[in-house]
Amino acid sequence: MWDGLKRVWYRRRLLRPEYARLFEPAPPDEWVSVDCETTGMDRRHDEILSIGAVLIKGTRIITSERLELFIRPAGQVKAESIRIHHLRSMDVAYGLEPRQAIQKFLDFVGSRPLVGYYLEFDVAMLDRLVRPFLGIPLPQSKIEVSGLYYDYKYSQNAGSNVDLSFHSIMQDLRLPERTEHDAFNDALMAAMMFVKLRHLKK
Amino acid sequence: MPKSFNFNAVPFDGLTGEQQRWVRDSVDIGYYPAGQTILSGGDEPTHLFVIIKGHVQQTEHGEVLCVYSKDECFDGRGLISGCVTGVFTAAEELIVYLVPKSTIKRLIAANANFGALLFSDISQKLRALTERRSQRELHSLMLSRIDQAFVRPAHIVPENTDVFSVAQLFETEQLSSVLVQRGDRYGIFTSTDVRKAILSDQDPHTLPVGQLATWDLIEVSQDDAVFDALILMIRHGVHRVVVKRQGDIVGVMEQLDLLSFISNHSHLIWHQVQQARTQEELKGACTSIQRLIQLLSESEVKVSMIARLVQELNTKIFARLWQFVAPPDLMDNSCVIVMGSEGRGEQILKTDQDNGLILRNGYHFPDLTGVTSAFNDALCDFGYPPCLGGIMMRNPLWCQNLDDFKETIRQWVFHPSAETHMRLAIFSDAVAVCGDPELLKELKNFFFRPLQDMPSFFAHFARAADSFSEQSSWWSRLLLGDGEGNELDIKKLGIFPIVHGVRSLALESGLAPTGTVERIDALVRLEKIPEDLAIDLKESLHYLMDIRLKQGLQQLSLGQRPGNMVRMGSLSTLERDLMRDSLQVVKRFRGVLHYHFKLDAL
Repeated sequence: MWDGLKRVWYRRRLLRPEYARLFEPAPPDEWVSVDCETTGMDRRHDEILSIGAVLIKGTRIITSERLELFIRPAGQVKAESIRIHHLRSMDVAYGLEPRQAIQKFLDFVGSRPLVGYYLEFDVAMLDRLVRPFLGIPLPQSKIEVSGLYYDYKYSQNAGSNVDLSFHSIMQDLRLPERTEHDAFNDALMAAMMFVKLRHLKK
Repeated sequence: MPKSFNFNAVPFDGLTGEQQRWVRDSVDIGYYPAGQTILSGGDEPTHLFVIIKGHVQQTEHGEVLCVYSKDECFDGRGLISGCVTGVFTAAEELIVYLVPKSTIKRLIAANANFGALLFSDISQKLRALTERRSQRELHSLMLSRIDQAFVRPAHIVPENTDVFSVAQLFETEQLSSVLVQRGDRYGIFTSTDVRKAILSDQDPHTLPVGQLATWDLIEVSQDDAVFDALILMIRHGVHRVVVKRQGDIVGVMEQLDLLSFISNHSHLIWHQVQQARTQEELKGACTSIQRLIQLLSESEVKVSMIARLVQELNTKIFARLWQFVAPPDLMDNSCVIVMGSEGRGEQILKTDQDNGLILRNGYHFPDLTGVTSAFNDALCDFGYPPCLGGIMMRNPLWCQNLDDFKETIRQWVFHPSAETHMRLAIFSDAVAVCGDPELLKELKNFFFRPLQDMPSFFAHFARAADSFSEQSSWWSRLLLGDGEGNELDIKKLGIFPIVHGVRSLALESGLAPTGTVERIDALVRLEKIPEDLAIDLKESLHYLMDIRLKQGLQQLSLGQRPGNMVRMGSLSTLERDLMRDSLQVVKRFRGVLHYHFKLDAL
């Protein structure tokens, strides 16, 4: 009920009426897996460098319809983050303006639920761009794959310790892991976790 | 992950950067839990599946046809023909790329190699023959124009011809189809239709073929690619297409010919031999064989397969030649035999001719020497060098009637010498090529039977396998590498000891097969030699044959006669290692022979 109320509230606060479609019912069995690369882990001061998103339809991951956006940051990219995502300042220098990127992202996602690993962080980072634009944070429902994984492990063996690190989940689910971590690959791997966990829950 | 699509795996390994992008942009990823059906008979596939992780089984009527694993794709054939055969099931949890049909079609249109590779699984035979690495050859063949391949001349009959006459035509001309003419329309009548005619229970003498012929012909132009003809055959489920030139029918292309053409011409040589009407035409076929060997060898086809293929072709050539030189009653009353490496099926390059003729008792042919010399001379002309030991049918010793032959062999057995042992060894590899095979069978039985009671014979006979071992140690030369005159005779040091040792053991057990590998397998079944040694022996033999073949081809290309000497310097480190391993196996086998035949006691 709380979610319902929140949606009503958001809908009334929405600055741009053309985005009312974000509140329409999502197409059945469709989700969007999302991941962002950022300049750091500080959700107040760090910036998004790239957004990767991929559409999931049932048991298929529609990589042919994918979103890979690079965003030009206001500040410099820090060395320690370059080591992780391999995006140097020069790589994102020709990226989109944050506003353009967020428009493309919203067009891609529509009203579909968002899926991700440690999604809370990505959503928080995205919301910093979404709020000034729409007046509200991302209204879609959100599914945390590490949460699904925890539930699954718990149902298998209640009370055991569950390792929720990305790498161990991929290994435990026996999914093919990619070593390059960019936004799109991470979104894709989260999508695979999601598809498999949904099957395991059945 | 589309970024990490494996463009090194067949058939995607030949795409240009632009074509790779088409794949990356259109590919999706699918997930199937174990046991789930992915495609089943009658489905029209919309994607080509490329496996990222997991295994897929293709089954038909509960029988497993094929298993696909990482980087392999399915079902290329179903995708193009629009119909899946069998059922594809995830044998274990599966993650796959889905490449849409539109992308595949685009790639086929833009990149002929891709198409050729995608369809390269069409014939099991093809796969066995070409073994992946020879696909370079496959590419060029698939791209050849139809008129470069084999088009059978069209036999056209009027539509009112009766089925019986056509069946007769099939028999005499060795056809499997004729074109049927009705006014200016054409249909096709095949050997399958003959079956239909019989089942229709009408008198084949009066039933016109026009009634049973198929009238919608699938046509190609002779300028089309061989690949196009193959696609058409698959799409329409037919075995023949009519080849036209500017609207006129020039012939018929059969699927078998097509696949054979692709599987490196071997079938066509066979056909060339069958159809040869003169000695000159037959010689043409012989020349093709050497090109075929070259091609197969470069394509890394296993030497054992090349040997088998060449043996079959050679046998056909000998038989055909004999038909040319010998009158029918001589053919009926004799048996042409080939011996030695030719009989074992281990002669690849033409090294020499070992042949003989067994005549029926009491049969006399006036000008026998004329015929046998003609046979030997023709073979020399075809490129089979004369046997230095004189083992040729023009030599009276190797052209006798059955009883005289028996007596000769008896003499050889009871008056042993190095020479008679060698003759017996060569004879024990004999196979019948043409004429009455019973003659050879009887002679061999005569040879085998008394031997079983003479263990001492085998001890002497087998000793030849050891005769070359006294040469200064081969391994020291192997270790020293490329020195002045560093050559190894791999026939004497490697091939001969294996062949002769196995031959001795096989004779002792009275085994009928003549091929060394077949003999080894039979000996394992009789528990005469341990299985691990058998495997090593076969591998070593094939490795040594392969080295000899490669070296021989090189010598031929330099205009030299292929020999048995291998220059150490021409081998890579890896090859030298393998050579050393092979010769170690030979040494081990010699030990076994020593113990078995008690050679040390001699």
